[in-house]
Amino acid sequence: MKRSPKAPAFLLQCAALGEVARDARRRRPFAVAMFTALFSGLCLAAHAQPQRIVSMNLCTDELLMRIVDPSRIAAITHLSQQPINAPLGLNAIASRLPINHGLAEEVIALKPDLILAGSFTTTTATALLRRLGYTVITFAPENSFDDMRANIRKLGAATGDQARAEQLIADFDARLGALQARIPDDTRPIFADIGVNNFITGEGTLYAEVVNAAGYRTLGQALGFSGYRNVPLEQILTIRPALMSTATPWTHPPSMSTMALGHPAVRAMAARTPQVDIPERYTTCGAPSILGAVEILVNAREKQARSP
Amino acid sequence: MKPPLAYPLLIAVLALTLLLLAAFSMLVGAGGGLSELLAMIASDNADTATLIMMEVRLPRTLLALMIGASLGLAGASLQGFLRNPLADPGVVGVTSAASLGAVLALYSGLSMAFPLALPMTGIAGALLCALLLQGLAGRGGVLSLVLAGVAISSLCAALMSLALNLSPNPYAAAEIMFWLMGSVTDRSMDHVAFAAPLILIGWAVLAFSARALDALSLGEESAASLGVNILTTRNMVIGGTAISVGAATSVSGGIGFIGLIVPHILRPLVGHSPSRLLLASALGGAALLTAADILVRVLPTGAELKLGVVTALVGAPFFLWLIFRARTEIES
Amino acid sequence: MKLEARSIRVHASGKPIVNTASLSVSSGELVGLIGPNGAGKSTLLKAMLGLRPKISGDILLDGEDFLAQPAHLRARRLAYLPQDRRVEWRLPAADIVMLGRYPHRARFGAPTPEDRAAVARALDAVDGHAFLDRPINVLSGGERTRILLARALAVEAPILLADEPIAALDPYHQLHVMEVLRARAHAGAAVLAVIHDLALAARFTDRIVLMHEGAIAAEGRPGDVLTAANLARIYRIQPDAALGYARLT
Repeated sequence: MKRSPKAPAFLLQCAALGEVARDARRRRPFAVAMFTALFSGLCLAAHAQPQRIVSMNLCTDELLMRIVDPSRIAAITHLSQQPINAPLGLNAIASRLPINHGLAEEVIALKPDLILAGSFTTTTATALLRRLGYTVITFAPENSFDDMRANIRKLGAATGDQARAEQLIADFDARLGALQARIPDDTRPIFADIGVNNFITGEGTLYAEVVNAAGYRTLGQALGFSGYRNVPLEQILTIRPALMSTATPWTHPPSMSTMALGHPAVRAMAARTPQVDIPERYTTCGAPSILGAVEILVNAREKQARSP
Repeated sequence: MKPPLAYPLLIAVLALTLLLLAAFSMLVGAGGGLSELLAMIASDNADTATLIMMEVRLPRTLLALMIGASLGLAGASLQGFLRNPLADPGVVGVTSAASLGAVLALYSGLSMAFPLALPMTGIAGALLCALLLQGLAGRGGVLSLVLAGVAISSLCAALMSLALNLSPNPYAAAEIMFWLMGSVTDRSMDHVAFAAPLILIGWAVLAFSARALDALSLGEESAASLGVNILTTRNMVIGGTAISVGAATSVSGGIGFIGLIVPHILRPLVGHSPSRLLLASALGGAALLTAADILVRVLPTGAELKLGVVTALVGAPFFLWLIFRARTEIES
Repeated sequence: MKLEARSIRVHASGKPIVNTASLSVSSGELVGLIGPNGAGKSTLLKAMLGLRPKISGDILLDGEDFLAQPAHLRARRLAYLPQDRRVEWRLPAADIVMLGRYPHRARFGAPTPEDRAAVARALDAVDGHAFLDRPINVLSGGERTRILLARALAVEAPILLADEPIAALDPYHQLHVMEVLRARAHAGAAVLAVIHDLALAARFTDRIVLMHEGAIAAEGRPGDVLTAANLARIYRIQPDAALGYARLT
């Protein structure tokens, strides 16, 4: 197995420091020798953590920015710099980092020592990078909060920031707990999030768990299916949801699919149902950003309980 | 040899069939059949039943009727004028050109500012195609007409695909299937509102050309000697076809073969009279398309089939059979 | 009533097809227009109908410019039986004859009793009642010509122009059609027919117009026009007692 190209350089540096330590023992007092040995050890430990991490996936971008110091991030994807990410509050960090477009050439030019990608991200690029000897770690899409916690831990292990990863999970759980404490009852009313082309989420998805965590159930769960599906409009109309969302950012220029969310029947349903607008970015990734969605839904839940 | 049914009786039968199919169309859908709808009304859910019937099924049924009628009528009209039983708005490229016009209006955002732009660009596309056909085929006979139609359809399909791929909206590219194959699924009363007036105008124009088509059976010279203005008749047929088919296609995408099949089947039943065939084909086309739309809702395919798929599955073999039978005439 | 063509010239691709030809036809007479192939007979007829544009000359009906009148009025005055006998659809014979009433009928509406009477009269004239319900495509050549002639007669126009009405007909039907045309003329119509059969022309027409290379070569009674000299010069044939005619070599 080939070593990472960066390997020889830092080993030599740490070895050099080790030499100084051995020299020091012969000429200096023990304490000083211990310190330099310690530094040598720390140097090795520090350099065991990747220093030039490239992320090729929007979701690993987010986790990376939350766990790892920006000085060790060589690049994130261009998607993380788009305005749609504003609700995450990571703009200060994201705007200062170099970007990549998921192309193997770009990534190689960044001289990474660790590459993070989604298991469905530009598979040709990741395959090529692996063949060239780079360390590429892929993350499968999350279908539940547990999947998300596992991925955070995996990323922490890969970057050598296990402690910070655990802290992120702990913060997430604490905040989730606080939000869930506000759910007034366990009636689980229906939240109808109607996507483009009547795309509905059912049982066994991350989205369903987010909605359930806030005390609702999804339209797909009400209709009784798992996974994702395009559902006929008439079927959607047979359900009476307690809360609804039909927003799409793709209104100009339009397409027939995005215009269909303005169908008179959907508008009529919306006229008699409270609406909520969850920024799309909150539910794109299995990452702490999902708490943004949970919070919006819990707020709606409280409001609905107060004024039935 | 007299036709088996007298003309008024034939019209009555077609109209009745049409009404029955329309009623059936209102009672079929993913939201439930008659029993489920009644249950909704009984359990204080009447407004849901109303919503489904009035906002989803009614526009769908009305559009299937109007579009089917337009296609049947235009097909009969084109065949009467061109004196060619293979003429049909789809075969001669009018439908594809209308789709292209509508695509340009919708995906550029023009139709959001100005909703009538959608059927009007459909009509403009159809008219341009007609002009091109005159230039390409002229008096060249059935072979040049069909070939010209093929060329125009291919070009328009390619341009549509290009326009959709260039759209920044991520859903646009996949919508090519709607424009190539057609559908009335989830259309709304808004679509009915802005397409219907133009479709009706197109029908009126075609109705006015009916008499002249009879005289044209004898050939252009005899017809001219009987007082038919060939140029005016041509403009009415082309104009009426472009207006009705252009507006229809702009809301339903490209549905083919109705204008080919229906006049062919009904012609012997109206005693081969081109003028009588117009009304009969309008009713027959409306009935056929409504039946096809019921079929796509009833078939147990995963996602709903596109309407044009059903008409093509029936129409294309029929077209081949027609060509087969007429091949001696085509080669002359 | 008199239809007159004065000094008509018609060109095609720059070449003259009708080169200053004049003729007239009046009520009560059957005029035969004869001449070799390519003489310009059909073109002259079409020019009189306004179906071919003329470079110069006038078409006059009782002294008035005929082509300036609106098409539907011209259609009521002048009926035309063209050379092209094709009918696209398998219409029943009776419906074909009814098409002759087109100039008289309203845009929408059923045929009137007057229309039906005119159709009946036309069918009487051509003896076509036997097959009036049969589709035109199954009729024999003779039957088809009679039906199309009946269509022209149904217009009941004072003037009738017929282009080769007896082409491809057997002797029985040739005689029948000529008899119908003559009867029509003698009933008061002005009838002009393009004919190739010289014997039939001589026998049935009141007056003959002989056309050659776009111009009128001779005009008058059959005996005066169908002279040996004219036949030799224009047709390049000579009369032959046994065979009728023989080619000049």
